[in-house]
Amino acid sequence: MRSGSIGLSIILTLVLMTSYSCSGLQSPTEPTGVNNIPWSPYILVHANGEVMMGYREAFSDLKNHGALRGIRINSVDRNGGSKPIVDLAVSSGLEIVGIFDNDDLFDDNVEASIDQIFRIYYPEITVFQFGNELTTIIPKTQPQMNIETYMLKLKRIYKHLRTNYPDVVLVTQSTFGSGFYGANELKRMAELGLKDMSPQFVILGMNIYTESALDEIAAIRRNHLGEYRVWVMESGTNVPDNQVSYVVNFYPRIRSELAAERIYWYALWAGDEGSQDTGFNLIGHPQTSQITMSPLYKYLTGR
Amino acid sequence: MRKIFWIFLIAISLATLSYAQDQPEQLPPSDKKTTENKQPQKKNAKQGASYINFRFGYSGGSIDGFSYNVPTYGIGIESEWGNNHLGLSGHEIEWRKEQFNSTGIGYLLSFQFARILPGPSKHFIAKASGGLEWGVPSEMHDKTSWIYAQNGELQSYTHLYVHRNAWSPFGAHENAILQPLAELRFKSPPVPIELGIRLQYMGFELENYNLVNNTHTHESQYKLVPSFFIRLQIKM
Repeated sequence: MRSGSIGLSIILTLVLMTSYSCSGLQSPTEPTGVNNIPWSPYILVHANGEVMMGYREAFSDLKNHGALRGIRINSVDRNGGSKPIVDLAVSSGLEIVGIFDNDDLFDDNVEASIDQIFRIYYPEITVFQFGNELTTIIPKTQPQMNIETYMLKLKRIYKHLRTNYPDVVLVTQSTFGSGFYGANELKRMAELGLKDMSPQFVILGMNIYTESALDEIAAIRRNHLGEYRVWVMESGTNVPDNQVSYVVNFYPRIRSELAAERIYWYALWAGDEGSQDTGFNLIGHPQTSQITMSPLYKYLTGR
Repeated sequence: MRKIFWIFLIAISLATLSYAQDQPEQLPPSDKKTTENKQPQKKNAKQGASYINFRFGYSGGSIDGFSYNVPTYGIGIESEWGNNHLGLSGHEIEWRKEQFNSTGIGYLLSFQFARILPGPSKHFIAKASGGLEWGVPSEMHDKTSWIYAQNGELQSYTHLYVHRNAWSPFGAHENAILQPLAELRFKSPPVPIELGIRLQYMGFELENYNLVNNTHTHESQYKLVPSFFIRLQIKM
């Protein structure tokens, strides 16, 4: 009788712990999301004039289903190449983040570059991200910029924006999304003067693709930059069949652990067959009126 | 690096265990004067014992309105010295895992000294222990609550998280905690099971962001966090 009670207690404890372990995956404080998955209605789009037809259809479709509030445009260039996409997004009622390209950060007169680009895109865009994975994404055959030089540039950019465009919000360059390289870089940015910039006008940008990147950057952000808001500018998986489960399992952790206000899915479209990023796509063949839809896209739009 | 670190820790724990088992019975100086006094002392000396413990625990509750459920399991080595030294009757080292669905975080290592408390009979033993726990905690106490307007616009949010106050050899090195803990355990020999309660003194940070007023507030606090556990013991 006695050993039976003890055995029963152990089994009950194990069952309780298992059920609580599973329930711990989702926070009760998460926003409802779309179709009961914790989706964040923000997506990265690549500016490409040839895909306007497919983008127009996808913007409308996703927005009508509550799955799209804003986009991050991969590059706002000084030639105005992204203007058609920006106009489409504005007419669709979407919020826009424009990426000030890594190449433009090399400009000695970065203030003049800002003025030139803002003449095209401002005030349609009032949130700009200055750089994306700057210290890791540039091919090694090209000139590199280290984080020390970037922070010197960022201080000048911050000063220029505060003086001339006080309503513009600055998003810092996205740190690398795997391992703990990004966390160390964010810490270095804090040491190099990021903390001197007002949290009212600066948002921390970061890419998060892996659990280790999330855990490490969350620790650094808490210890050094807790007063700053966080936007995850890229996240996603390149395995289409895993897209829905990725959002269900990983988005709540990003939001709980990092308190990220927004998570931008990478990407609406990153190229068709032949592109290594094709698996990330929410849609395919946007050059035509017959776009194809990924499992996540179908889930978000109730198909 | 990680392998070396864990091998080092295991080696320390085994060495500690070995030291405790090899200690000779120490007699007071006065007892060494006569052999007549030695015999009664040896007769009163209790035999020490060592155990491998398997822990299954659970902590649940609410902190500042954020509910949490943290299951945990662990394995440890415990040594009962037989006789008290400096008022203590044993020590133990234990590795504990939180958040089963994560491989990168939720690993903690504790070291405690224990004292067997006087009980009503030899069939009921109570033990109090205290020590320190170090490691990379899970994110199961890290929570964020969100307040949205009717139009879906984010208005404000509150972020609660455990204060990481210690270095770790892993990742970005700033993700660990070092915290005091105390436990009270009960067992009824010869049943090899302990039931107990643990209290951890944990630091929490509360960040509030109001996007309407564009303001931010921050508050630090320390709390005693209880948990309950069962330990299966295997005598070595």
